[in-house]
Amino acid sequence: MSIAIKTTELSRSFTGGGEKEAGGLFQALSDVNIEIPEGMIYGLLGPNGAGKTTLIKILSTLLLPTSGEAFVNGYNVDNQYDKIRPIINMVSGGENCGYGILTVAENLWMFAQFYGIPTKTAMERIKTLLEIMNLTDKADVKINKLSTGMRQKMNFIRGFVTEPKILFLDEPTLGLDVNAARETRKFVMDWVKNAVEPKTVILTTHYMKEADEMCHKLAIIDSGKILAIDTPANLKKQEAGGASYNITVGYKEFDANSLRAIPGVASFAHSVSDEDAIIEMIFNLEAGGALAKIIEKLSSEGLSILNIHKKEFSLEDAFIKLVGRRLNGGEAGANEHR
Amino acid sequence: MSTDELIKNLRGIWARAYVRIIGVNREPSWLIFELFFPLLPICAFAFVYKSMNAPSDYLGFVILGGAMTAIWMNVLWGMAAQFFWERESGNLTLYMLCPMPTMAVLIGMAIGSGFSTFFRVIITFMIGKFIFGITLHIASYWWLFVTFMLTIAAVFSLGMMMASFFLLYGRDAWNILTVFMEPVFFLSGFYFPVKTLGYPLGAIASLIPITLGLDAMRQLAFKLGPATAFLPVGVEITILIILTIIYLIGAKYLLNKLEYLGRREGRLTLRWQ
Amino acid sequence: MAITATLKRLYKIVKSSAWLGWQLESNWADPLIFAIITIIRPLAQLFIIIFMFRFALGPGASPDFFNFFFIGNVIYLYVYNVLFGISQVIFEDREHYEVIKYIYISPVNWYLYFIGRGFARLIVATVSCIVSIIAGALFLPLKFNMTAAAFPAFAFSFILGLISIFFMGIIMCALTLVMARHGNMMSESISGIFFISCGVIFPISSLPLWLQGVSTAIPISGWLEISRRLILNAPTTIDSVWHGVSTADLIYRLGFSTAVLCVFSVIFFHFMSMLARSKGIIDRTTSY
Repeated sequence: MSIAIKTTELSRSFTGGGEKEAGGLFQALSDVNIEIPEGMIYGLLGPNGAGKTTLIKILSTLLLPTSGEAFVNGYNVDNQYDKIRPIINMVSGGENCGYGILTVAENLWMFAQFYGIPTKTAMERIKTLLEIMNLTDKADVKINKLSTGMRQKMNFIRGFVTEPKILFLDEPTLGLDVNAARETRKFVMDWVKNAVEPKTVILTTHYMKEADEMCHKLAIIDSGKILAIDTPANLKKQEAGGASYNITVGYKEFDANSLRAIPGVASFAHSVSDEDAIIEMIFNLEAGGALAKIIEKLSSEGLSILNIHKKEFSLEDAFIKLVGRRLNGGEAGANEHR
Repeated sequence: MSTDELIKNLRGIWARAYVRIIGVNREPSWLIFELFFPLLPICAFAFVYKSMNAPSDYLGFVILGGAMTAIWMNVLWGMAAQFFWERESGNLTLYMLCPMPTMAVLIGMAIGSGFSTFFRVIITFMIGKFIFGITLHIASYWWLFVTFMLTIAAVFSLGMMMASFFLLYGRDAWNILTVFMEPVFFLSGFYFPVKTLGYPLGAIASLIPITLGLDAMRQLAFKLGPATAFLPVGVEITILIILTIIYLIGAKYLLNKLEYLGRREGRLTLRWQ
Repeated sequence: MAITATLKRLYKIVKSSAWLGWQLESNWADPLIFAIITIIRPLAQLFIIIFMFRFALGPGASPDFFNFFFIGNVIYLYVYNVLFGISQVIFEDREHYEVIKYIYISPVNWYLYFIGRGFARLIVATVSCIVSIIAGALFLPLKFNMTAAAFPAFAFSFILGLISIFFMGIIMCALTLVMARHGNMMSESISGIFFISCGVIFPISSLPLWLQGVSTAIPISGWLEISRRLILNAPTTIDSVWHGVSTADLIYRLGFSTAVLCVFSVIFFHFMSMLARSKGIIDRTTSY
């Protein structure tokens, strides 16, 4: 199987802005090594500011790496960008594109022209894609009259009109409602699955379920570093050394580190629900780790246990173990219910 | 460039021009701003000469300068600075991502605006004819056409060079571009023959192609033109050819170079600079 | 107490919007470059006309011409800058920074916000004006004879003139609310309207008769004539259209037209704002 994307010791730093490390540089990516075979949906899972978009920008020829190398379809992003651009496309979620004065169909046609696609072919593709994305009735509406979600859908279609060999989807379901997000995910999966020529999708997301459902392979990224690469199933399996428990307690100040230090606890994360005045805790145990010690500790801390639930291992457990915190900064993510 | 590539580029040029052409149709207020209002300062300058009882050819000089203002404004704001807006709206990212050369996008913009610019030029001349009673004395239609086309080519090449700076810079480039308004109207002799500036200043001003283009066209179109000539028409045409070549090469080089710098410094997609 | 609190709140609005206006105007470059860019355009404008005179009239031209266009040009710097500064507020906040919806729904008083935003341009205009006067003194045969007694009238008419262009700016903003983006064409347009109609660089009497009537009704035309008379200490100027009208009459006219403009602009802005809301285009963008 051919390699669609390969990076070697890829790093990128920025001067100024945000948190600064020594030397006034912000390290957005550090020594990233990935290899993506063609024909798969490859996910980059990480919190905001993890470096996902920076990596996508480098691979899509918009940004140069500070050091290391990146190849797309065998071409170096540094100096062979003219060979890469005809075979890629990119969709950034939550961003607009096109001209408000043009209709949906006209905007899509225009972008297709920039890739040299004959009008007849472009219009056929646009018609099909609009149907799939339930946007046919908006084809002749100017985009400055569309809702944010519809504009987002149009932007999404734009990425597919050119039939790219490699497609970068940067948080593609951002800003979409539950149904539209579901349609979008299904469409991408079908597009890759049913392609005559192999298609590769590089998907960045911070929606755990989206990554689990869509990706053939996942890279977990945080603070510019790749922490793990595997299939979602394997990532979950790696964590299956011991049991995992969800424990709900009544709200009270507590010391998270003391819970993390309980013998047998592999990782710990929590989120506070102000509304219900409760704390939801997730304990991943090592093999042979005992629940009794946890209950004893919680009682000694004066925390009243409201519910204990043994849970199946999820991608989130893997993420917590690797990153050391929940994906959405310790809060329960609404995205999990999308 | 292969035929296949040429066709692809032409498709892109047409698509970008289409936005402008359709835009004019769908927002009629644009016509007022593009066609009507810009004619007023030109008339004001013509009235300055009229208030001094100057010969009608002087008013003609202003009208010709005014017509070229439309082209210069198109190049400055319709093409060079347009990347500023494209960046803000997120489209610049997509232009960089697509396989079409940046030059093709810029040509598309210019051609798209050419539609309204063309009408502006025509209306300017009609005002000259019917309101100010200007009479043309064309020495050679052929050379007038050649000079006009060469001026356009050189000015557009210069505009592409200017556009390249918007790949790296935002509001700073926009503000600096405003320096190319009145100071260029002054240096290039939009409202008086450049000879009035004297030869040293005129020579510097000749780096702006419109300076020599205007001077040559005034010589070819007005009776008093040759008397106010800065250089002979032949020399001016030769310099215009050289400038076109230099600016075209410069535009190609700068667009590549500044795109590279934009990618290196991460500023290609940076908004609200 | 309540009045003091209200005044404090209003002052804060003007202060913060003036700060914002100044940042938008100037923080893109270091002060030296900003200063150069600020003065180079009005200077070029001045030189265009100087060279037009030199070309058409030769070195022996009457100083009356220079005095006339120079004062017009300098006062016009305020017209252009303040009017343009205010008229760009809606355009910038909507199309560029995309913050108009947040400002629109805030309890900020629009007029104070506009005053604040226009303030930066007032500073720019003043700097340009000073530079133009220095350049004029160096290159032109100017003869200014303003007396101390004339200064209060000059200052009063100047303030009235500024108020009138502020309300014209509000009208431009109201129009911008319901129109597509026109970017720098807007400045060219404003420039065109007043250049031709207010006798900035040539006497109104040079215009066709029907246009002279329109010109004299615009407050800026009267303001320019008042300024010229007071600065030159002359009962009239070369513009024959104002012969027979006293300077005091011109000031009354300016006061009246400013009051009319104020009422009209407030009603017009309110109407256009409601129209934009009903059309749902308060925060639309129209780039093409």
